[in-house]
Amino acid sequence: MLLLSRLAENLFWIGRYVERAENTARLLNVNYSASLEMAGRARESWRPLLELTGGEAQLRAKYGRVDARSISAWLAFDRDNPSSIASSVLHARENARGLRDRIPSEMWEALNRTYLNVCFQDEAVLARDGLFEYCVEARDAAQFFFGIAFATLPRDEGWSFMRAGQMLERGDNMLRVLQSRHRSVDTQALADPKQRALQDLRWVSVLKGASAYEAYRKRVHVGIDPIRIGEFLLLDEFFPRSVRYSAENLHDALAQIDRWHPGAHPEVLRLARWLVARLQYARVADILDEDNPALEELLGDFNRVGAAIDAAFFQQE
Amino acid sequence: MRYEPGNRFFDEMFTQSGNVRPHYQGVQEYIGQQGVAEFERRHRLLDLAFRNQGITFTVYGDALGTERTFPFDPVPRVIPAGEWAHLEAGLTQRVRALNAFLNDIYSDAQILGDGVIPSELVYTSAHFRREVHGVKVSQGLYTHIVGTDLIRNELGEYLVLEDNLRSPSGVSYLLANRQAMTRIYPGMFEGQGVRPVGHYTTALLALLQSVSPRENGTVVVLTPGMYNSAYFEHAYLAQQMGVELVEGRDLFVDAGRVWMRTTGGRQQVDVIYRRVDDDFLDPLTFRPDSALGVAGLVEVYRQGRVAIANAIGTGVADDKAVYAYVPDMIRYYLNETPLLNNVPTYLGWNPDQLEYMLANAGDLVFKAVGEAGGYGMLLGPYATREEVDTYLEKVRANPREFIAQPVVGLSRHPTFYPDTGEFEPAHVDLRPYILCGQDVTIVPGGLTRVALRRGSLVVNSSQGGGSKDTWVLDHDGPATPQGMSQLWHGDGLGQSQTQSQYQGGFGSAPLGQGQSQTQGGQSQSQSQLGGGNQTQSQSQSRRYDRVQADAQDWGTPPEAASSPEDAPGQHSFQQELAKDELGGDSRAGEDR
Repeated sequence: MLLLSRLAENLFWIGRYVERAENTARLLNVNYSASLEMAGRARESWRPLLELTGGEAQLRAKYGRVDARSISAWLAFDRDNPSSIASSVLHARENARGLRDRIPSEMWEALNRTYLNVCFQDEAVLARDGLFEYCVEARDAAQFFFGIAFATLPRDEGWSFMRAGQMLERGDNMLRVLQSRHRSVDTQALADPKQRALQDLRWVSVLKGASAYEAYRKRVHVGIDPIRIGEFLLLDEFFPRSVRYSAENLHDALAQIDRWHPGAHPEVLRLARWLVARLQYARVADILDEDNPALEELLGDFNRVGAAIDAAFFQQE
Repeated sequence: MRYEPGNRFFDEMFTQSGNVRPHYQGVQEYIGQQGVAEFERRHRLLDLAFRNQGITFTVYGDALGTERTFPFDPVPRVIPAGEWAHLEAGLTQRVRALNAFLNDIYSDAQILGDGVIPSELVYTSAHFRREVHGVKVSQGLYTHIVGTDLIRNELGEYLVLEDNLRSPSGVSYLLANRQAMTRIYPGMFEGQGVRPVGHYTTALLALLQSVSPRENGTVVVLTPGMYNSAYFEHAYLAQQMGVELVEGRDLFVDAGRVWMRTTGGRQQVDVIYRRVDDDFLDPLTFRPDSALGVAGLVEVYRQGRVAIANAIGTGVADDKAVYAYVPDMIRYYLNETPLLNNVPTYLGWNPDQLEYMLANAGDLVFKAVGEAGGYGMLLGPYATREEVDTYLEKVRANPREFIAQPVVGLSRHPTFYPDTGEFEPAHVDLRPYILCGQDVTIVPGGLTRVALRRGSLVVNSSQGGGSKDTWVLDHDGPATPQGMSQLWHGDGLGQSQTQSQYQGGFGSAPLGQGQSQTQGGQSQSQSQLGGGNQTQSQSQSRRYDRVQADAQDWGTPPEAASSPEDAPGQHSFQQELAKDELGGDSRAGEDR
């Protein structure tokens, strides 16, 4: 069984882009719903989302304003934004087109339908209050896609590359969410009960943005506590969107790839193991209070694994 | 069904007197029972299915929706067994002769030495590749996959319009059309005796493997990439055959062999089914600016360490001027009489014929010999005076590059128009796909293209053309009730099994079964022409005989003096079958 390097790369990126589409859809949806009840504070509630995905300067240049509407359009439909839902789906679908002979037709068709449904929309969706449905459709499509893959894609090297892409993207995204939220915590304001309620709501949004709210409630009974939320999203062993879980699964996927050509690329596995070890042995206070390792560092670790995968498998002669 | 066949053109479904032809009776009855509303509803389902599956072709220079679905008309084109047997024999003969010709001109060129074809014509062809002269191709095969364009004139005679010998496309539409039809109109097939087509990819893989220089060689499909107009087809064929779909950048040459880059290192490649034009295959041999090819590939090919299908240089035999000599090739190499006639063709290369061409430009269709896709054409009867004059300037300047043909009125076929909810006649052509290995295999069917724009004679999909499912029957019609049909056809049991298997999804039946069944069906149909069918098939073949007698002279390019006044179709419409996305992938390659 062999796998063309180009196709391995396509599979890896399909995993990343579909996961990205789902994450952006989730975040946008949660943020949109939350912001509806905080009139006048739109800017505050949207800013972290924009920080997380980047592109504020471009957004400002294009729309001439930074508000809920322009940010929503930018994150949902705008193909000039490389991480918008539409762009992610478009890129995923382009990669899938390159894989049409390789992936089951059902996977291709699912993605192609999503493309036809979500990539040709514009602000008219906002005008008719359709953002919620739009985001739900994108999220469902991603889950449907991975569901089909789970049920039909042979568990060969290709599967592992897709899985690695998905997990890398998930861990990366979760870290970015925590980073932006962590930065905006206003410790002064916590004394004021009104402010406190608002902060709590924001943290609930963070949880919901990762589909983690219900799981968190079941696991942690102390209520909305930023440190416990951070711990849950970073280090929880069982929650499938935690950073640790993502890193462990990324490592497992890479270990599976290694089995096809044992020992050929030790650096990839070494970096992945290092990342997993850090997340397994660090305590939440080390990360969030001591910056040891800092969120930025963990993010850097994820990216180093990505770069090593690229160098080992996609660029070789 | 309400339908007005008219009598100016040959109608595939109805006779001049308005009676349905026997092999169409089943389809007519089905449509009658369904009613237009239901027919229309399912037509929409078809559209949606194609859209979701992404069965599309690429439209260049269109920013947003660069992919379009190929419009599909659900009224099938039906070919009875007797007619098909004639086509099969004619096409087999033709590809054998073309293959012999290619073997010949890339070695001793005896046909040129014997003066049957002017050597100047061959050596000046843009598609003659001196780089591969003397190369020993595997099994002596040049044209592994051929897609011949056939049209029917006003009398219903099948004529060859073009031999596509480079990388003919469209076969995926043939397969996808059948799959969609069996899914959405299953009832239409019941008891009709439609022969299956799904074994095409299995037969294609067997053919490709048979030319491998090594035992159990690795076969790949080489595509220019996903922005190529025929990318869907490349991916589809690779998927159905279970081989890798590669781009030029996935391959490299080292140590006298071709390799592909994989995550586990290099892997040797033995057979390349290329959908990239000659010009782009190897920047060291052909166009140095090509990014689609593989540097050094031709040298490995010359050493016999890799097989390429179709072989390099086949284009010389579908040069439009060389085309005129195919009937001579058949006589020369096979010592047989051509079974399928060409459209009469005048060569600008021949001074006498050139004179006739220039004098009668208003009645003729001019084509540039190396072009496809309807480019470089002039439709005499529809052109303005200035257009004709400008064009003739070019012809005079470079007569070798032009041919002219009389205008042929393509046959028409009932076609459903959703806007009016009516069945209306539309012009059609037919492209069967021929696999030429040690044996010649032609899946019973083909791509029927239809000019959907009312009154249009252009079946090209970029000009509003669409396609139809093409049925080849195992009898000459009318279809008998199922039970009867089984008795009638001897091993009807096997037949119906194959049938149902293919309805479940094509490509699922193993080759052995599909093919032996097919062959069984073939011989059956030929020996089965009893009773009422007998008359039909006799009259059929009588008609061919007559037409052939009429057309005997057309085999060779007519003398300039031989007046084409009495040629059928002289005063009617022209057929131009422009074909860009179907003509081959070369243009697309250039666009990249």
